[in-house]
Amino acid sequence: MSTARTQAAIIRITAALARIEKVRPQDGGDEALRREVSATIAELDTLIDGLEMP
Amino acid sequence: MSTVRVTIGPRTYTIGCSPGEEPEVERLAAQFASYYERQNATRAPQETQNFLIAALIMASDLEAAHGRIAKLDADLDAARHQAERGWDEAADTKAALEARLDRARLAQERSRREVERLRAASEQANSEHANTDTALAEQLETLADTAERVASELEGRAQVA
Repeated sequence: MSTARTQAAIIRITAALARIEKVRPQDGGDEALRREVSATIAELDTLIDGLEMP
Repeated sequence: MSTVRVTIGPRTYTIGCSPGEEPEVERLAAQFASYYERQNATRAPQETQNFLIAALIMASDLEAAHGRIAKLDADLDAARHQAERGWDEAADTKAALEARLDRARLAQERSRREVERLRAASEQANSEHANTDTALAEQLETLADTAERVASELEGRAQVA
């Protein structure tokens, strides 16, 4: 039961990261938005690192 | 007083006995007569001599019978001793088997307790694992909420830019 919940949450996180990568500006684009996306991805990485694995 | 007439060899004798004893006297006299008859070919002129020979033959048979009885008594004693030894051995075997049975019962009881302990430990471990798995799922769901919210915000900003 919990394993199914875990897998569903991981699928949601993967999809959200794909959406974030999609809007990441290329070089020469909006520098502020690019930094914002990088900061968001770093924040998500930090959150993932903080997960307590069983 | 009763009388019985018995025939031994060529002569018939009248013998006194108690009333009721006639059949026994006749039977014993017939038995003695059979011993008397064994010396048919060598019978002496004097009946006293013939009676003596018949008595000696009878004594010889009696002695052989006593020997057989003594041997049967000895065999009976030996069989009785053997039976007593067998009984003692059976009692020892029974006691040993009862002791082994008691030990087996104790071992079975110990095993049953160990199985109960392991079952309880297994149930506790399963419960702890389920709790941990649930906590992880909740953390991941929170993280997914955050990622989806951030993605929506970034998509909105990208459209504005």
